[in-house]
Amino acid sequence: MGSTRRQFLWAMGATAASVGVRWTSDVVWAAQGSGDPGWSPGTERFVNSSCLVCPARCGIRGRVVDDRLVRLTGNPFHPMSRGGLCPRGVAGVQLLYHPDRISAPCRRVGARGAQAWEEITWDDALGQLGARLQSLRQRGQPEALALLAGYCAGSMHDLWQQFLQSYGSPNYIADDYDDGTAAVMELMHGIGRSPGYDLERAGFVLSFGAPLFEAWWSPLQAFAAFAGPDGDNGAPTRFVQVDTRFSRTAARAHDWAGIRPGTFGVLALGIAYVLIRDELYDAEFVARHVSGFEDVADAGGERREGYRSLVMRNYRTEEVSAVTGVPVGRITSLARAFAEAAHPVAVCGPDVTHAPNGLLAACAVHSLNVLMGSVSRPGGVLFGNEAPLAPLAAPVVDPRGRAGLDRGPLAPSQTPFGRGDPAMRFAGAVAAGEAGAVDTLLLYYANPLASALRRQVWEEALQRIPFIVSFSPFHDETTAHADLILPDLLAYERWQDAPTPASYPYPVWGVVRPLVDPHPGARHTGDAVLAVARQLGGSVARSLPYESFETLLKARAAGLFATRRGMTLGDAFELRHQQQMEERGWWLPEHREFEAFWDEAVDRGGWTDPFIDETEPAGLARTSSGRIELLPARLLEALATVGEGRTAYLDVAAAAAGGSDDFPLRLIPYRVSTLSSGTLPLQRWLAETPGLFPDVHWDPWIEVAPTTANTLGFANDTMVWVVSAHGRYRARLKVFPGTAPQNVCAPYGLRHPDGEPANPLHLLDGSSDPLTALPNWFTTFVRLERA
Amino acid sequence: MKRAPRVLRSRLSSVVAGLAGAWLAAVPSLPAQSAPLFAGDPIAGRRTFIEGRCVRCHAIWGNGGTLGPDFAMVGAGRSLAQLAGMFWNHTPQMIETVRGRGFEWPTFTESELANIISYIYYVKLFDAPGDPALGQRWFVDKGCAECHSVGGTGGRIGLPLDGYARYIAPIALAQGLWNHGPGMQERQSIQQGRALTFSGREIADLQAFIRARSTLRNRTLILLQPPDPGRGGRLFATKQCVRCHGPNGRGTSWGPDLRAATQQLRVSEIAGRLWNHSASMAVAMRARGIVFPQFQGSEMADVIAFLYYLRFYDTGGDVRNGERVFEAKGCAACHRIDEPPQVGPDLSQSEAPLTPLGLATAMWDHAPAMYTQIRSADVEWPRFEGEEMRDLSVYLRSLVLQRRAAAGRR
Repeated sequence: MGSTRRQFLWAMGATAASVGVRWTSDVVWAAQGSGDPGWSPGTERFVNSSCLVCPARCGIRGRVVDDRLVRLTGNPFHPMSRGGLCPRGVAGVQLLYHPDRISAPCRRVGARGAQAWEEITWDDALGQLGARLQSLRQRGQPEALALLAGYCAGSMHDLWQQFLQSYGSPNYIADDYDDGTAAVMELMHGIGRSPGYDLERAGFVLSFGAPLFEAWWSPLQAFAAFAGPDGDNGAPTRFVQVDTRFSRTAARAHDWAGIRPGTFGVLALGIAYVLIRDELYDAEFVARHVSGFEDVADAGGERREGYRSLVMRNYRTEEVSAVTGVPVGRITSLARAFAEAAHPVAVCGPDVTHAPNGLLAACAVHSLNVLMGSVSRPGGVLFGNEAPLAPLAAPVVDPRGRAGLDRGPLAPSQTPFGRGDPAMRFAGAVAAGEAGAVDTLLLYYANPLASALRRQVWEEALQRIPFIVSFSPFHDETTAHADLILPDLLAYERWQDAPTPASYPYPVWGVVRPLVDPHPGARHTGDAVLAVARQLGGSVARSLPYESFETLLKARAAGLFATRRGMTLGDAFELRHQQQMEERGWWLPEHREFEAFWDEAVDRGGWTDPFIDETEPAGLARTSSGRIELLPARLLEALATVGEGRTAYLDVAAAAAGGSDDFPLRLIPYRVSTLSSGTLPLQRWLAETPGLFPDVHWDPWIEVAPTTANTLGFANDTMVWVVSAHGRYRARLKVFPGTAPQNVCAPYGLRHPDGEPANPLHLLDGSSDPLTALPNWFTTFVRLERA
Repeated sequence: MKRAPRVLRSRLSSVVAGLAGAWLAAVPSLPAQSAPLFAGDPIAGRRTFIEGRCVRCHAIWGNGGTLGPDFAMVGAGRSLAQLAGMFWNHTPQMIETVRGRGFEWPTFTESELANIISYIYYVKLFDAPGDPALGQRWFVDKGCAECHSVGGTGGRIGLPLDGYARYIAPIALAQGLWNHGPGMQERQSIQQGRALTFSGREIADLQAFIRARSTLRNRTLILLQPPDPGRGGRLFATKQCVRCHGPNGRGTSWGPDLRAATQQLRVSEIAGRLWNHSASMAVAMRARGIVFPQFQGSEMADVIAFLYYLRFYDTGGDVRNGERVFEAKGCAACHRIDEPPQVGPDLSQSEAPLTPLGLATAMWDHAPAMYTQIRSADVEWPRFEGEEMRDLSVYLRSLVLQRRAAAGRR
């Protein structure tokens, strides 16, 4: 029997290791005992902080030797990440010492995009920005200042908001990721917040396209939740992934149910059909806390169908199976397993919401939680609270600022629910609007030329903005168009806070603190904003009376100290003990003085409160009826105007349109945890760990089914063009049986080694859900051509 | 990584010292001591419990190691001396386990051990939440629903109980019951022909039911801070409880010894007992011209904590019996008094026996050495049962004081 390549490599490695062990036991290093003059052991420190690489905001622990950061690992005190850290977090060290960091403030000296820069001093740079903003305000046009901000939840977000408000600009433009679930919760619960999932205590997790172990809000939350063998009830936690492809998350699940793109909502309602038909739902919970389940007569006496009737009439398992491709028996067994579990929870992923009927489909998925009473209960959906930070100083708005605010945002949302894509909307308004509507654009961790679905709109918009300031620590596509660059410190050199995302239900206020001395040529953007505020004086300065961002953070932490709940981060015993104490209604004060509290919060990496009062009615529903609404009146009203004749939960399969002869294959873009941040050019070795394929490292790739590859005549590893009506890019074709025929699965965030872009999002058709304006990811069809 | 030092709470220290002083003062043959004998801070004890890595072997409420007992299950109802004896009895097992795992034997200062023991005792105060389903049953069966409503359901005679949903611990409810107790009980016996009583954890169950069914929205949850038994002791006096139950709750001809009455009870059970007797107490108090006391804020919690700790600082001790224990358990074989050869130290010349905690700390810290010595001598490890440790403690202390007195005379 011949050995495989893997066996051979393993044998070689084992041999080398054994030789190495023997050798090292005998060898005497030349330096040992020789006492090199001037040599001394390094001074080692371990410092806790928080990661800012992605929105998960995990806890990190830096190993610092001789004031140099040499390694990042997870902070074991962080309750969500529990000592874990993803490859992107670990790779942060590469960012810190990257040779391409911008080493000083820069002023553009050539044409925009020509990358010709002149280094200037910080005084000069802040002076230029301050003078520009002062002039704009004096001209009575404060609203002509706009900020495009990437994900910066926490005090940096609040600082920017306060700065703009006191300055007089309503144009804070969020350029971060929205999975659309907050709109669902607002509609059904009256709580405009993405749901938190108590995965740790769940008995059965039914994920509808949520990439729990990949690019979800916090993959480490999922890793930590499933690390233990048992759920709250002592039975193993079962995890089923419903997905359009065999993803890395599906590979980690107990079971995977393949489904046709855009039909998640139909499957959810098929499961609801079984729950209702077999009386498996929590009837008491529905009767006490839910409205819209039963038929009602309206004011005119006309009968209106409730959820039960709609589901029973339209979502019989046979019909659902025909639409979704999930066999009838599978639908029934999923429903029964879901109902029989002690703490079932349905998790709604972004693949559900980024579809033509995304909002309706997401409501359908969440309705399963409502039917089973898995809301505000252990193991279910929990709505946590923000950490109770002290508010910033009261904002002061002078008449000039008030006038600017009153003129309203340049591109207000027109969508019925959610906020849509504010950045794209803003770019469209600037590109189509009057010149000078935006005089100065500040870019804070935003790179729309790389991330936006329609890059050309942003290119046009940038051309129409006279003055662009970027705070990026690295050159990127959009920074290339800036007039001024004020390079920020990296997360390992600055103070900030890092609240965990809503998916983790318990509030965690992570502290970001300097692990090493700051780069001499960079400056904390928070400090830069405070400096500009002082320069502007008046109401702006009075609104931000903080010497530095560190003092601002400390002032806010006083709210945590005063709240008489929660704890500074601690180990697993401390966390559970605190939870048990609060479950019993008690809280033990650990610190008499705020300074001691602050020192320990910084030392341990932050603060958390591991207890949610699950009996609080406001944690269940804050609607006008006080009940969870299965058929929200606002949704029905909106459907009447923009719903193209649809009624709630009907036609959720409308996305199942087919391709054409020119473009026969459906494009399925997907996020990969290590690649979706756009920092790949700075952290090349992250390309080593992208997906399920051990032999794809450096080239962008796509996945197609074996039958599809055979039909098209492409062998594995063929380099192909992926072509849509809107563009094309090159990728290596991988034959993968986990891909459904007629689909092309395409990770985004990749580039070719020579920098050639390979972004499948640029191929999308630009359509969106009219209810949320979230882009459709799965309605674009492509063809493959040999490259 | 080294932790930043905590600011330790000393809220209870002075109180505890006072209670410990009472213990000492109750030993008639010994002179009173001016310095506090025992100052345990449960919050500092929790910190030491964690940093001393006790959790590797022991759990609190099932959270922690499983090699040793769960400290939330032991401790309550035992006096300090009994706890020290219990620790001692398990020392061989602990030493073997610790050695087998490669752990280092933890040593403590006197105050650290005091804090840890206090913490272990204290956690029992924090009762687990009740069962809302049972609470619903009690709400109906006990007739509460005839006068009070929760979540809009129930009677209208009394005030709605929804406001109690802001609390998790049943203390506030117990306080409300107490304050309105005599009136409610009188009315209930007239209207329903029966007197309402609580047993077991029924008050905790009622509290859980109120929280589950209350429609009070946007509750600002109130987490209680640890009750202060010292303040409870003062309230016990100012509310005139001492007139019937004596200054340290040991009872008089008017009222029972509360140490026995509260032993092994959880907070909600103590609250229930208080309610059950409140009507007859009210009558007896009226007869003596005492105003029925009302409690506000955390007063009820503090008084219950005071009652709870009565047993912990149990006083007394029999010097003669202690001497018998010293001989019978083989202590005298190694710790000879004024008589060589000395295997262990002459304890009459040691500072350790001067306080019960000092003795317990010395025994703990030197346990591995003693264990080795005893094992090499093929002697059985001595065990202390009942009040033996307490008696031994007062005996050894008497030796030290006698020696000092003799030295003073010389």
